[in-house]
Amino acid sequence: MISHTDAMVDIETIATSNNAAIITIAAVRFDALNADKDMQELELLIDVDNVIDVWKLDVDPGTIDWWGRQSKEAQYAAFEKGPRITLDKALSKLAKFVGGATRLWCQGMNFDPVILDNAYRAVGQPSPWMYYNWRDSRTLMSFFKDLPKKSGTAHNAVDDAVWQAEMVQTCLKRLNVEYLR
Amino acid sequence: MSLRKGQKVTVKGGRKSITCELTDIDHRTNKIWIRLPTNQVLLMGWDAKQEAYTASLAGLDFSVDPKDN
Repeated sequence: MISHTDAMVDIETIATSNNAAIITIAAVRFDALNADKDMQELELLIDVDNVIDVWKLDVDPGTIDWWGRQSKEAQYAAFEKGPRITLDKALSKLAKFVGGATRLWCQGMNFDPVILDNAYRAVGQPSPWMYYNWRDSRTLMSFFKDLPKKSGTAHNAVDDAVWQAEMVQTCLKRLNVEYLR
Repeated sequence: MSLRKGQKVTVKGGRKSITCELTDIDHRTNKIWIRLPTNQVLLMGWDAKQEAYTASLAGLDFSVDPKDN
């Protein structure tokens, strides 16, 4: 059972538009005010052909080229690692995983939540959150110039989500935040 | 210069150029297969008018010009 109050969500895509094709989704359930509790992770690897051919989401040659210049590890996680599932199944699983979270976090409000909302709309499922559930970890992290460097693979959705969740906990602790709405 | 299997080719997509691997070539039917960084394999046919191999994906036109490769 998932009891954590917070969820960090991170996606990887092959476009940067609002209707970008999503290729991986990662989510972490955690407690923003308690770093002692273990996090729970979810990784959803999506079939690229399904996203493009069935759901007609956007592909951008510039982003494909950008992926071609990323590390082999990042490319493997984004495109080769399996098993891959269809976008609608992935979004159902994400909805179940984040269900009950009071706060959803993302690294910038104008990317992940917007693209995910449009993907839910494309597959005909309701978004499993309200717009007011979202919090921005990027803004929180910008308050500090000496945060620890990210570990793991850059642009690996799970590694990014875990690190961002850890940074939310770190920032809130440094700010002596004891209550969060 | 003729294309050969396994070589890196420049694929034009919109205004961008993407470096891809040419995974196979069929000289008889004049078709090539290229692997995008997304691991998708794109089958491209010869377009005599453009003098390039072309294919479309997600509504986007991609082309490989043998003269550039």
